[in-house]
Amino acid sequence: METPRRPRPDEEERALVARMRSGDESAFDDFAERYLPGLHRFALRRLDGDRELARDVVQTTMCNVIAKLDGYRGEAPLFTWLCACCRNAIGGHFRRRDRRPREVGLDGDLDGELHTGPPATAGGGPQERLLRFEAGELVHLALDSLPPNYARAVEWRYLEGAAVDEIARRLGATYKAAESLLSRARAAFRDAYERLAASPDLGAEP
Amino acid sequence: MTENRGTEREWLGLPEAEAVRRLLAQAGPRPAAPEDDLAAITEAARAEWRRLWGDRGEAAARSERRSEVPETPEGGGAVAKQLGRGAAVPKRAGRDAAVPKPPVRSGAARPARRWLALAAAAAVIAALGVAWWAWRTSPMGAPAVASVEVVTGDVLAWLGGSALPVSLSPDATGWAVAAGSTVETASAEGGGEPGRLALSMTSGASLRLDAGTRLCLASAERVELTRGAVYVDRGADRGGRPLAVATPAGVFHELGTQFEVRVEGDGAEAITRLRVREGRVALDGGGAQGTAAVVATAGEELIVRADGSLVHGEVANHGPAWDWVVATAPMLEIEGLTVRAFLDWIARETGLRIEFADPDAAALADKVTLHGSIAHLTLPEALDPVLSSAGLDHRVSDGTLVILAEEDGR
Repeated sequence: METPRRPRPDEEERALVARMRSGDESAFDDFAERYLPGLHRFALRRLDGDRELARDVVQTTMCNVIAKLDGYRGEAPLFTWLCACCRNAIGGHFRRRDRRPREVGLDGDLDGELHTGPPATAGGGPQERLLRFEAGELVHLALDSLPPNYARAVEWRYLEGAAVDEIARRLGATYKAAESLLSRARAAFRDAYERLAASPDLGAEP
Repeated sequence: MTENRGTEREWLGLPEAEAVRRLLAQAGPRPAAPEDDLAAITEAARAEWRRLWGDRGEAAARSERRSEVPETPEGGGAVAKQLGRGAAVPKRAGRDAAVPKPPVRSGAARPARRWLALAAAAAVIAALGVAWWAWRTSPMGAPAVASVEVVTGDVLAWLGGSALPVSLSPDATGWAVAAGSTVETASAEGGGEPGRLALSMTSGASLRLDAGTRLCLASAERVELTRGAVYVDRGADRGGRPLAVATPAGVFHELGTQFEVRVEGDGAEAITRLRVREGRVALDGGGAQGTAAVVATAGEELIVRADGSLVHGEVANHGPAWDWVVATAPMLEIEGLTVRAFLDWIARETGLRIEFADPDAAALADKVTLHGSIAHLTLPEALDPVLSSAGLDHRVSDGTLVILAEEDGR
């Protein structure tokens, strides 16, 4: 008997968007639960930790995206699309206010510039710390772009150091299933990281 | 225990799992997003989703409405025929219905578009109540100087001088705008959907803002145009108080009229252009550019360059130059009006002259009373169904809207 094929991520995202367009509110809930925290982190990073502004920009982005659901073709991952929309909103905000966000320079004290997401380990010169910060954001973006169960499993395993059987227990799955999920999650993380690293839109400041 | 690495690939010169471990260790945990912020955003977004997609019946209706733009009087069942002495114009839903021309209502699938920061606040504000927002964003005692009549595309308002803008959606119709407020419409290049706005000033004038405009409502009698274009219509009866438009080139004082002032460019490239459609406009010449005082009359175009020099030209009172004004026109409440009154409004908004092809057509225009609403149509959309409901047809020829009885038009 043939095992049903697992939907590819892009198929799942297109299906999610189709459900939202069809009036299925549970799809909206899924959408918000899955993408909103990551989108908020994305905005907060670019807004010097200005929480109020981040809330407004993300709200704007969410509403813009909802209004544009007709235009989503699944050619880019949904999270990438959201981040691009968010980046446009941030860029527009600063254009309108006729000011720029504080630049993350190669010299000077980065700790004074960045309110969120500093490197996990201190030390090193400004350039090294900047590069580490950017790499750290890519990691977080890549995690945020994954299905939540993938992201959680990767964090449990590789950040917390949880054993596979512990992860299986947390997931309520068998050891083999957890192992399989970890393998898929790691591959998905790698793909997302490489895609984001190659994206000129997501790495740069507005 | 470790997961099976028998088929593990290499990445970044390391076994894939080790590479992932090092990257995550370096990045640290993802910062938690504030739960209350997420909840607020979710609810604002949910309100927007419900409005646009939440009701499948409504969504289907929206789609249907998009397809029923009246190409012909009979098209889309848009208009009931004359009923007795009156003609009923049934309500059409949503100004979001597709508009073939001009394109400002092109957001058919997204009737309300937000723009930048706080755009979604419109939904939040709707939920919390306009009064709260007015209280929060208006300084104590700031008088209302205008009300919102039409919003299309992305429009922001710093109400009452608030440091925080709010996005105006089409639902903002009727909002009071306090003195000191600034409004800004998105330009086509700005990343948002080009926005336009119509305001009714308490002084009596109708204001329209084209895309890419920034305007401060200093008082009921004075607005300050920083960039973009504003159109002023004092009304056919010249009622109310005159309105002054302050620009870098000086202050334009309307003398009972319809006119447009547009500010374009910066520095040495800056120009301020006046187009007078009706009546007269005086430029006081008091601007920083040392412009001479001058009065322009209907059909005249005046360009003030950055060095203060003036260029005179001509402009027709109808045609493409005024398309954006027509597209932003607040719709007439037609209930109980004659077709003649409707046509007078059309003439004022479009600049077209009205002619009747024969006495029968003129008699019908005077006799037929309209019922219903065209509030959710645009002006170009409204013409066909309203005239058809009265048994009339029309054609446009050389700046003239010719009205004829339907049988004459066949």
